[in-house]
Amino acid sequence: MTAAPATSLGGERDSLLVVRQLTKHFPLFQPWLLGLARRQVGAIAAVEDVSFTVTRGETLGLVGESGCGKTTTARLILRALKPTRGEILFNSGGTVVRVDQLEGKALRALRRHAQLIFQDPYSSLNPRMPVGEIIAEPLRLHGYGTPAEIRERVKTLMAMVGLDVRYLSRYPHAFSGGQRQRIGIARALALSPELIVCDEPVSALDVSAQAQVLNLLKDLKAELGLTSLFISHNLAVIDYVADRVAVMYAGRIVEMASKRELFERPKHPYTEALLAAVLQPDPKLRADRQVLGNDGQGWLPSSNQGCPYAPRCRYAVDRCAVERPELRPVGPDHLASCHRVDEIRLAPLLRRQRAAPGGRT
Amino acid sequence: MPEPLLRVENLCTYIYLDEGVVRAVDGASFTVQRGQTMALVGESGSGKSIVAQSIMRILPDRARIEAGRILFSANGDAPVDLAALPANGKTMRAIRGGAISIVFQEPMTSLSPVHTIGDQIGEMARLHREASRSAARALAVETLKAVGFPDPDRKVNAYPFELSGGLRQRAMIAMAIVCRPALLIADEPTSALDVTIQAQILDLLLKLQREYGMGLLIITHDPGVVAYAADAVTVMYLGKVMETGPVATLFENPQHPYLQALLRSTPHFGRADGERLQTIAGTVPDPLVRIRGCPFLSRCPEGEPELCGDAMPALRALAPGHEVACYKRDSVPESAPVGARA
Ligand SMILES: Nc1ncnc2c1ncn2[C@@H]1O[C@H](COP(=O)(O)OP(=O)(O)OP(=O)(O)O)[C@@H](O)[C@H]1O
Ligand SMILES: Nc1ncnc2c1ncn2[C@@H]1O[C@H](COP(=O)(O)OP(=O)(O)OP(=O)(O)O)[C@@H](O)[C@H]1O
Ligand code: SF4
Ligand code: SF4
Ligand SMILES: [Mg+2]
Ligand SMILES: [Mg+2]
Repeated sequence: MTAAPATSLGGERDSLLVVRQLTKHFPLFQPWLLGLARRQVGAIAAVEDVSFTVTRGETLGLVGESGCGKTTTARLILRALKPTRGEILFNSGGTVVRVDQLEGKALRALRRHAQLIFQDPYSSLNPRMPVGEIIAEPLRLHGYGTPAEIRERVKTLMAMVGLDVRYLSRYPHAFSGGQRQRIGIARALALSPELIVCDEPVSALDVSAQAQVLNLLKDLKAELGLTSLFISHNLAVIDYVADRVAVMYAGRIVEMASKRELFERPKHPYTEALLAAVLQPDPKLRADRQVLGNDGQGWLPSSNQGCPYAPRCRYAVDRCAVERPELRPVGPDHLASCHRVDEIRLAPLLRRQRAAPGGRT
Repeated sequence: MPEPLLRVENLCTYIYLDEGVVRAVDGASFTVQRGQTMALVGESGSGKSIVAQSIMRILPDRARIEAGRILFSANGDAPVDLAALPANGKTMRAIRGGAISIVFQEPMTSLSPVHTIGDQIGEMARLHREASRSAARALAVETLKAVGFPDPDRKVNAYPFELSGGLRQRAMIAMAIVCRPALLIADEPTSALDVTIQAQILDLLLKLQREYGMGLLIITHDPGVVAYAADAVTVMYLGKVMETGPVATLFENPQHPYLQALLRSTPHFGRADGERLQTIAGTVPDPLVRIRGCPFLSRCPEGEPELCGDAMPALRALAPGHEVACYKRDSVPESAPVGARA
């Protein structure tokens, strides 16, 4: 990547991606003139002041409920969307690029280094293109080499993701969901990107196909030293692939820590609610699962100045309605945004087996 | 033994497509006891929804029940065979939405966008319980309260589009339970919801089940949902039942090679670093191609073409209520369990 102004990444030496105060507002329209036109009546703050760093070789998991801004964050980083404000710094081979300011050719060049893997293996592949062409397309677009070199590269990629090269001229409809996701991964890896952003890559798959794709992503990380941002709503999946986890709520990161720290010492009430909602595949644990009935029925109204989680928070106090908590250090490499971090004790993920015969009570 | 709530015996439901016949359900048998939660699990396309649609007799036009019985006994009397009733006859219409009802993954498949939720819940009560207009409305409010609706007196006048996904799901559940069904079928009731909401809806279904003494047939592909909610489990693969039994037995001592593989490939917490998920080789065979023998043979680590390739193994009881369809399982081994946990 060239032709973009270099900026310092500060002391964060092996950071591949640094995001600072990233914000995206979508205009909110309402029908106007009997539905013949529309007018802007406000804005949706899809992503608000999001900051994080992804170190080279690490996988950062991003979790949170539907609509909290995960996909928008992913699309901003890959510049499928233009940020309203904030900085995105990408360190490609010693050159730091301000991704948020890229335009035109330099933006296209970014695609060599950062790629997206989608949730839906059914709609993300062109149904009229044979698999070989689908994987070769980015190579052609970026002038990878001669047709023979491209053919070789396609075969290497197919082998890498465990697809039989005999399937080269088959069309996507002839593949299972798991195989289609492999095709998407091969295509994303075609130009040897340094960063891959995975947006719910296994959510549409059955358990057995999911296991194959998760193992594949893990192997590729080990073999190629891939760095990734991994979005999922399944915490067991995050536990399997991620090194660190960021929890998003209503457009903001509310907690971030190593996965072990986050699961064992959650510091934000929303994280606690997420952990309590985990249904583990072990009938012995169900008698122990706490039901956090309050989530979703807190007593504070939502307000612009207060904590965004206050309307659902079982620990909310008056202060939470009027003062927004900052994301601040609360432990080793652990950030959380809650006024009551020091006062409340939150339940960790339930993981030990206790003798609990007789099932639920 | 009292008559169970629901006994599905050798159910065969085929779908006739231009390309050929899909044996969507091909000889499935399982039993739901009164007040019990049975989970029906299996990969996409294994026939779970077609089983549900066969019980409710709401199959697509191209699908037909070819064989088998669906014996239903709402209150312990002699059972009726739902498979033998005309799908739109008087008896079936009374049962559907009355003694048996269903909730789907997507609430908008059963909620009408142009009527208030109160009208829709009340309509069910008027239809099946011959309630008066005012009694139906009172019942709607009461049912909304039972499903945990905030402010039910006012929300009864809301239209579905005014509600969040979780509240719509609650409204659909209210519609399904307003007639106090003996059996509630839930087809992936929480898959489209956020995790915290998912857990709430599941807790709600279990609470209602206990209060009303309903039988619950819950369809899911999430082993976490099964472990949390079910008393018993039926595992399907390509239209056939591979194993059925109590939840603790199936998780701790699964017998069928398919179930064993499925549990080993499920991500769960507390794995050692670097530990890998086990995978099932290959993919589910094309449903249009008829398989004579065991449908799992092409992927089974223990399969032998001579032994398993000619005919489908019958379900055999290894213990009371625990049945397995596999030629290589004659009895439960005494040795250590082959469970999911490491
Ligand atoms: N192009 C757009 N125009 C207007 N609003 C948008 C657009 N894209 C997203 N939004 C809104 O921004 C918010 C965040 O959406 P986003 O898709 O990032 O959520 P998400 O966390 O990925 O959710 P999910 O888990 O459902 O995929 C939502 O309120 C959404 O409706
Ligand atoms: N309306 C339909 N028309 C044609 N084929 C259908 C129809 N519904 C289901 N099938 C086929 O019947 C078989 C069983 O499908 P079914 O929907 O019961 O699977 P399922 O176990 O519910 O899967 P999922 O987990 O994806 O919901 C599949 O091969 C499917 O393609
Ligand atoms: S700041 Fe208050 S409302 Fe927000 S999460 Fe903490 S306790 Fe709950
Ligand atoms: S019958 Fe044979 S192929 Fe089928 S599960 Fe048993 S061992 Fe495997
Ligand atoms: Mg998304
Ligand atoms: Mg289904």
